Order: sequence, then C-alpha cells, then structure tokens
Amino acid sequence: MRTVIERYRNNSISSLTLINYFLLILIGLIMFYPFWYILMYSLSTYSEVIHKNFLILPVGFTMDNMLYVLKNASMYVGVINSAFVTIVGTILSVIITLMIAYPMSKRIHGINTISFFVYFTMLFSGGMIPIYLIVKDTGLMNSLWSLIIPQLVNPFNLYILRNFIKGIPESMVEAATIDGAGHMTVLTRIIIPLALPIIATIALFYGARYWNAFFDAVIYISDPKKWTIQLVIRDLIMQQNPEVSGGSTVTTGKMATANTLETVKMALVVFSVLPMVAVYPFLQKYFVKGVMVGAVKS
Amino acid sequence: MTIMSKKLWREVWRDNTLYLMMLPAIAFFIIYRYIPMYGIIIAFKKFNFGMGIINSPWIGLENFQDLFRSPFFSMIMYNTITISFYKLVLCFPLPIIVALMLNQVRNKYFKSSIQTVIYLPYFISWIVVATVVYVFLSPDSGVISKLWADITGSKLDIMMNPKYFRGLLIFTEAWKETGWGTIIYLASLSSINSELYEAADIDGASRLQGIFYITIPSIMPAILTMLILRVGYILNAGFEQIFVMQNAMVYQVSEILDTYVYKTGFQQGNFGLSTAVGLFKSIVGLTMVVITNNIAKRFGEDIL
Repeated sequence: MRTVIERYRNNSISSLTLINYFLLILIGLIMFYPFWYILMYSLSTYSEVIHKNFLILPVGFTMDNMLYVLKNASMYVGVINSAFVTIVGTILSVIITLMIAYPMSKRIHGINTISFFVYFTMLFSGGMIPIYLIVKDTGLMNSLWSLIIPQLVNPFNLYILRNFIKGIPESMVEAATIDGAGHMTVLTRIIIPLALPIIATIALFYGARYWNAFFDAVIYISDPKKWTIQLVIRDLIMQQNPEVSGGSTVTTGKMATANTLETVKMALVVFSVLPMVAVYPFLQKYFVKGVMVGAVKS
Repeated sequence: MTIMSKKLWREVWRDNTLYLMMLPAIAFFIIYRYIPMYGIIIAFKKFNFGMGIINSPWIGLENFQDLFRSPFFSMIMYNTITISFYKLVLCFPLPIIVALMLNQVRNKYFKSSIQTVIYLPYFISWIVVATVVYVFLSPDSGVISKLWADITGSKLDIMMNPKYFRGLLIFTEAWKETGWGTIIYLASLSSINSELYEAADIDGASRLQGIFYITIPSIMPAILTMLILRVGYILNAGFEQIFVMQNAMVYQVSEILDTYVYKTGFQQGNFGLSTAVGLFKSIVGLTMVVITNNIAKRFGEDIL
C-alpha cells in the first residue's frame, strides 16, 4: 500500500517537475530572444531584411554591418565616451564608497548622525531642476564628468559594503591593530582583500549604472563629440521615427547620416550591450551573495 | 562636562584618519544631494535664470496653485497612480513565482543558466529596450507586426495606440525587471532550514504542500518588506522607461509626474512650476515611505 502511494507521489512530482522545467525554459527564451534577434538582425543583409521576415537565423548573412560600425569613428565615439565614464566613474565610486563604508562600520562618535545624513538622501530628493542647477553651477555642463560626479556614491551600494565590513570578525582587525597597524593599513591589508567579492559586486552595479546612464546624458550633454553610446542610439532611432523615444524637442546631432541602415543600427546596439553581457555572468555568483548581505537590516 | 568633551575630542583625534576618509563622500552628499534640497525654494519663486536662485522674486504658493488648477493635473495623477498600480499588481508577484520555480530545480547547472539568462535584461538601458521594442513592433517593419499582418491581414499598432500602450509599459517592465527581482527571494529561500523539508517529508507531505506550508511562510517577511517598499514608491511609475517610449499619440495615457516635471522644466523653461511638481512628488513620496515603514513595524519588520 505504502509503495503504491509513494509511486503515485513520485509520478505527480515528476510531471510537476517537468512542467516547472518547461516553464522556466520558456521564461528564459522570452528573456533571451530579443538579444538573439538583434544579434541576428545585425548579421543580416539590409536589402533582404526589409523584404523577408525572419525569426531565428539571419537572412543574407554578412559581417558588413559590424565592420561598418568598427570602421566609422562617428559610430564608436559613443563607445569611447561611455567607456571613459564607466571606467573612471566605477573606479572613483568604488574608492570613495569604500572610504566612507569602512568608518561607517565602526562605532565612532557621530557615526549615527552620518548614517542618517546618508540615509535621508534616499528618502527625499531636491528633484530634477535643483540638481540640474547645481550641476550647471559646478561647471560640469557638457562635460563627461557631469555623468560621474553627481552620481559618485550610491547609498544602497554603500550599505551593502558597510554591512559586509561590519560582519568581518573583530578579532581579525584587532590582531593587526595590536601590531601597530593604522586604519589605512587595516583597510588596505585586511578589509579590502576580505571584501573583494562584495567590491566586485558594487563595481558591477556602479558600472552598469554608468554605462547605461541615459537621462542625465540627455540633459547635461549637448555636444555630439561627447555623446555616450546611449545618446548615439537614441539619435539613430529618432531619425528613423521622430515620434518615438523621449526628449523629442532636444536637439539631435548629426552624428549618423540620415540613411543609416537599420541593420547597422542594430550592430551598434549589439556593441552597446556587449560589455555588460560579457562581464556580468562572471560576477553572478558574487552578487547574489552581495544582495543577501545588503538585505540584512542595518 | 569639560572632562567629557576632552575625552570626546581625544577619541575623535585618535580616529582622525577615519573622519578624513569620509570627507569626499560627505562633500559629495552635501553638494549634489543637500544643496539641491535647498534649491527647492525655487518652487516658491518666479525663477529667472539671470537672477539665480537667491535673487529671483518670491511668489508664495503661486506655482502650486498653477499645478493644482492645471487641467493636466488630474490626468497626470491618474496616469501615475494607474501605471504604478498595474505594475504593482502584475509585475510584483512575478519574481516571487519565478524564484519559487527556480528553487524547485535540483540541477545546479540548469538553475544557474536560467538565472544568467533572466538577469540579463536588467543590465541594459531603457533606450536599448525601446530600440528592441521598435524592431519588434514598428507598425511597418516590426517583425511581430509583419507576422500579424501575414496572419490576420490587419495592421498591428501597439506603440502608438493609447489602448495598448500601458500594456506595453507593463510587459517591458516585467521583461526587464522580473529576473533581477528574483535575487532577493532566492537569497531568502536559501536561508530556509532544510530540516523543515525533511520533517515534512517524513510526515508524508507532498512537494506542493511543502511549498505552501513551509516555503511561502518562510519568505513572507521578504515579500512583505518588498511590497511595503514598493507601495512607498507608488509615485515612481518608471520615468526613464516612459521617457524613452512615450510619443504624442499616447501622451494622454502615459504622462506621469516625472515626465511632466521634465516637460515643464526643460521644454517650457518654467523652472518654478517644475520644481513645485517635483517637491509635491517628494513630499507625498516621503510621507508614503514613512507611513508604510510604520505599518511594517507593526508587523515586526523594521525595514528602515
């Protein structure tokens, strides 16, 4: 009798499991298909793509679109600008966040006040216009620094890092302090090596934010030579269809010629997505842990 | 008292490196977060670029009167809350469901591959999402539109149809954020004691019963926390998303507080009104967060 029940249970389990696997694969495909499609689109020949509808494989396979983007400086000036913002921004953000996260993990005088000082910025904001005015007043308009400096420290990333450092056993730090090490030494020799996975996590979060920054670039950067990749993409879509995509009255530059092929645009979009797609899977095992640490209440 | 303060200063001096280390970040917060809060006074002024924030003349609550009397105000509030509410009802449960599904998967390799794929959309910008939407749904050249035309013979116009535009916003939001949203629940799921399942198994509970009686109650605090946070930010209907996907045809169903701030400020140059709208949103937002956090405290979940 018992074995019959067990067999029945196992059967129902396996069919549920099967449905579960099937649905997860379906969800995965929905998430992945658009990426696949733009890649295939960029590998297609334009004259064939406009006549034939394809779903899975490119029509008239060609590398020309990719090569066109690589050969045209006006195309990848956006990539260079975005790379600058992302690399410089991420390095600065991580260093400055570390420099405040470490003291905030200590019980020193006034640290509660500073914690609230940081926390309050998550609750209340001056809003779009006052922030715009301060960026203007600090002379950052039309400079790539306008995409870095006003976003230097993100409180959420700061809390993730602070919570992790707090969790490092006091004994490890004390041993070094007895040996006469100062705070700087403790930070660089003990804290940073231990916190490396979390530092990688927040570097990824900062990096993604800098690379994908769009609205800030729209309002702060007007000179086409300083456009980031996101602005170049917007420009490309807008000349295709002026009604679509935000900020339609913001002046568009003349970066791309009016007849840029749709397939070439997709090649550029592929290049814009590539760095994130290439980097993040390697950090995946860290950031799940990182978010968990960050979720622990302060 | 003097002994106290002497002791205090000695301790502060002893830790001076720690205080110095914080300076760059503190300077950042003061300049780019707190000074703009002071800039909010623009909301009560007739702002003039030439005169600057301080010298522009005060006009009291005129900007707010303009806002509340504006024929657009009720439309904008309605859109903001409706879009946000739909997203809450339809997009909020998805990460929980997907996390529960992933949690049932035994095959580690399969699980992490699915995770890698579903996190992917989180790492691309809204402007790229808008491009992809365009490639799929453009009335003339979109792949789905063409398929639709081949099958039904009629034209498919989702991007510029007020009837479908909010649906498009919700779908793209779900596509971009669902995978990422699972992280917090997966973290919470991984902390459930496996002995609970073993005990349930011995008692003859099925796997579905295990999900309903052990798994879901265990992650309930995480679900409540996320729900409360989400409700607190109800006036954030998704600025960048709408900003990049909006067009004149769907303006009346998609204009929200944030896009209105942008339009009054940067397109019409009415910085006073724009700041007033922003301040209105900030105050309502702050109130909502404080209220929801107090509710959370009653449930024993101190999230702030």
